[in-house]
Amino acid sequence: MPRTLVIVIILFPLWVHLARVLLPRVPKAGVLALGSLAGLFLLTSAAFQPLTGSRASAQHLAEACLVAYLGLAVVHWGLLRRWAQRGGWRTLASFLFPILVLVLVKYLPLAGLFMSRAGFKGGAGTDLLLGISYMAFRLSYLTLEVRNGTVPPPGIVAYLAFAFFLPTLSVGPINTYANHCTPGEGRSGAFGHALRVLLGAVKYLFLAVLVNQLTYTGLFLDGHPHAWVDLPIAMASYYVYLYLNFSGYCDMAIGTAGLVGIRCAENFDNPFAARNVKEFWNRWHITLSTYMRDVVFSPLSKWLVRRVGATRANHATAACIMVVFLIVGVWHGVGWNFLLFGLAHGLAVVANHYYTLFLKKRLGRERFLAYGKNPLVRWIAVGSTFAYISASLFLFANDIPSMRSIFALLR
Amino acid sequence: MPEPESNPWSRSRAAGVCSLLSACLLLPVLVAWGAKPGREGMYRTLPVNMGPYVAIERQIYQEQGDIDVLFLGDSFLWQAVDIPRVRDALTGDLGRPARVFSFSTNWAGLDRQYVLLRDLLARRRVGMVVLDLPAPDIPMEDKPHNLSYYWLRMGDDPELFRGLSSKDRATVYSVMVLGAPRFLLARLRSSPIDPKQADPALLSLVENRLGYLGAPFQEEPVRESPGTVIRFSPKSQGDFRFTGPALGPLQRHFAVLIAGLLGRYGVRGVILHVPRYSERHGTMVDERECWPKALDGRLELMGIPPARLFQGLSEDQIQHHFYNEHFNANGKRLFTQFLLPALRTLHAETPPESLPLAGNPADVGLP
Repeated sequence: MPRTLVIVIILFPLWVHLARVLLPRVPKAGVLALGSLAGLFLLTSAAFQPLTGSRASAQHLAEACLVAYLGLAVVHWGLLRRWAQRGGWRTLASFLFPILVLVLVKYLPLAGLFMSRAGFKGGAGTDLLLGISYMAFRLSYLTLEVRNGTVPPPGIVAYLAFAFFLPTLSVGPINTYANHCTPGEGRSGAFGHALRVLLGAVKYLFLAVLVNQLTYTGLFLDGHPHAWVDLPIAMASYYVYLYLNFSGYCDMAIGTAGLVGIRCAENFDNPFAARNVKEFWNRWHITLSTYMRDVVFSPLSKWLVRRVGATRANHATAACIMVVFLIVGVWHGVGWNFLLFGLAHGLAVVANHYYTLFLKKRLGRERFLAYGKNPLVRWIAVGSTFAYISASLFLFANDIPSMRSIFALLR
Repeated sequence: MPEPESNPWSRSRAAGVCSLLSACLLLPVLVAWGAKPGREGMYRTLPVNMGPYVAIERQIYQEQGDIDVLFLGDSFLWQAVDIPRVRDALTGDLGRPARVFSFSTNWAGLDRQYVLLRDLLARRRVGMVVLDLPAPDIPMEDKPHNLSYYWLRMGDDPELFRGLSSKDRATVYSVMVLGAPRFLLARLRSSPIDPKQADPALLSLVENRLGYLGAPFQEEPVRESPGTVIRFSPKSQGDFRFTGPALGPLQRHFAVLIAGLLGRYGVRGVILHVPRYSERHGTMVDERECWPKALDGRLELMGIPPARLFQGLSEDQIQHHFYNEHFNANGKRLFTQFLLPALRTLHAETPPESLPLAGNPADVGLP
């Protein structure tokens, strides 16, 4: 599947440029939509093939999923066009519809049901709607963009080209429609974009695979006893692996988008340099952090501060941080481990929030700024943040049975 | 959301990634020159579900004494031979405890057979090695074993690259790159896995009591007077068919290395055809190539046409001998019955200079 994903994404710009030459009357959005839907079909078929054992059966299942996916998208487009600008519950319905689909697909055993109805065993964890996690956030944000007048309501072709935009479909970044519509750099930046695709592929296909040799799956889950020192090695390696895998994919996605003239938001900014968990989230999966800030944190904290009063604003902020990170946790996957992952990060950001308030109060503005610039403090902060993120990703990488088996193997 | 940043991809960052890439590509050289631990410890870290590698490592590096017969193949051979039964039969013939082991494990790839044999023969004498080679109808990419990055290491063996094409050299080198982090880690800390704790019985006991494709297991009665597997010879060549496709250059390279190794150490090598479910009605033994010819006469070939193996059995009864393409416990018992007469004859014919010395001191855990 990762290989198919990379091939399909790298072929996407070739399709777009070829189609623009051969089909000059088809608008660019049409070319993007067609190419994206064809790519989605190939990826879904590839995901089904190991379960069905035959290409024809996999293609039939992929067709059914694609039709359902398109149907849901068209319903949302209708809601968006009719209700997004009307305010009240109608805007809310348009905003919530993609999220509701995401929740249903993620939390109900639809994949297993679908596969058993189709006559196949297994497949409970298959993505019936590939990339729905990212699409749900992109499309719900589109409702806000339309409501705020940032962008006009898109036509159906432009909407489909945005919703199913192949490079960012399965792993993000969560691009905005405003970015999507902003003209790219054209041919002048083509070399830079191509280089970025290449280097993204190197990170995703080579460096990540290499580092994965020392992560939980590569090092730990082999059924053998392990020394305690292997645990921090696996934790740190997993953090590096995840960065190379995710940022490598995003580099490919952003580079490919650039090659077809679409601007895409950045998703990473050297997360290993973060000096606390709050800063980490400003450097890691930036588009998710921005979405959560705009869609959950800001409105929720404004509402809560109004309810509890300005004197308790700091505590209200802390409560909102916890809510945001619990949502971030469950968005990443189904299982208690993801909730615990969100909790661990929420607690760290809340601790940082209170510690910052404490330092500001204790040191005063000038000394607080000097404290922040102290190189020793900086290195300790960066090191401890790296350690904390590495340790917390233990909850992200392993479900509860895997955690048990890891601890059982430690000597 | 904020406006997208301008492309942060600078030339200096690209240069950094290129440097990192180069360093990673040179890791096998670093392992070979600066940080190479001994090969002991290499096999014990292989995942438990891939085969009894800890017990294999114990046999290679910690046990002493000669081995009478070694079975060294993929999962088809692993599931096909009842090692305790072979051991009992040879013990009766020899008048002393016979030492018979299986180093067969999951997945195919002749590089695995080669490195295990090379490391074993460097320490212990072996009388006879029984191998299986990839069947003609199994689609097989010409690449190393799935787990080769656990055992292929730069600087261990000059033979590894000799005679390979540039493409295949690159393939083997890339496997070494993938394994380098593990070797570096092995240099930094020791593993708590103790091969002395490994049960030698793991090398013989695979009691697979599974029915065909998830069906319940049904025990088949023992057949009284079976035939025997056939040794390839001018007289018996009508029972064999060599249909191709030929092994790819990389796998052939390792097959040739195995044959050379056996020749160098004076070990009798036999390639055994293991029948699979899909060829249950076959009236001939199908192999890719005539191995005795293809490997310069250094290896013998034997097998039995599946139709003869299952003669007199109904379709349902035949199915009871498999759990998928592989034999289950019924199949293993039946096939071993057919194998034993030929194997005993071969062992009796093995030239005295290559026979293991009797009365070896270390037979830990053996009957």
